[in-house]
Amino acid sequence: MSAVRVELMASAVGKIGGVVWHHLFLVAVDGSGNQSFLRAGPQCLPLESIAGRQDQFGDALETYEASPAGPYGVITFSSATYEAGGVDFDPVAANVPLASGEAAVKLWEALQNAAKALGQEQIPYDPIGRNANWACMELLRCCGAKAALPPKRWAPGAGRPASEPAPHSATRRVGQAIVM
Amino acid sequence: MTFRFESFADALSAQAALQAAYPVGSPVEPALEALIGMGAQCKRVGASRVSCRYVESPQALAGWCWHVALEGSANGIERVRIALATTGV
Repeated sequence: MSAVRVELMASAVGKIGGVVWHHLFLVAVDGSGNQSFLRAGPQCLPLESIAGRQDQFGDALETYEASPAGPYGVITFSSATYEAGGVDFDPVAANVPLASGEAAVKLWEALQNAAKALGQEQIPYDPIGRNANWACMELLRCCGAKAALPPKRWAPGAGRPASEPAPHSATRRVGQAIVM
Repeated sequence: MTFRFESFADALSAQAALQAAYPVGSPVEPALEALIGMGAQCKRVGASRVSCRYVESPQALAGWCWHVALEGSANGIERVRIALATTGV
């Protein structure tokens, strides 16, 4: 797609300790108004998230394959049409413009390439460390884009640069509050 | 009629079940009420389209997130579309 605008989206997903947490992803709009998303997420969920469920082939446990990277597998990136009934669609998500015009074309292409490269690193997904928000912001950092979150949105993981290792003490913080 | 996303592990299975419960041509309202009743957040996004989102474990740091689009008209449901994502912070 030839993007004319790229935006950082923050979608409220749940609450932790009474505070709303947000899932970050990126959306590009082309000249016709068509939208595409680029998002990160865990490769899989722990076994208990599958038990007792049905998939199109029957019992989901029968086709479950544990990832050697851990219960959430590695960080995976995906991109597709952003529309109602599609992944991550949230008509009330907060958005921050990142680029427009020619800069948007370049940024979207760079983000796609960065996602491919980061995906190839096979980074284990850690919900309280290198998670989807971290990956989304890391893509922007890789592309040199200034990434400010929408005001008063808490996006755990978003503030941790790649050079900063995830904490491993027994009292790890859940995330880093980002309030602009 | 109760419908639980927690019974399904993929979008195709959930969509087939939802369409069996609320087939094309049936009224939109009961399907919408069922989705809202189970905790989905729904918002009209067009003249004939409602977008719903259902997060299974909003207090977890990663879990299933279901996205539903219900398209309808005076003649009832015309199309149901479901996507599933593993969403984490």
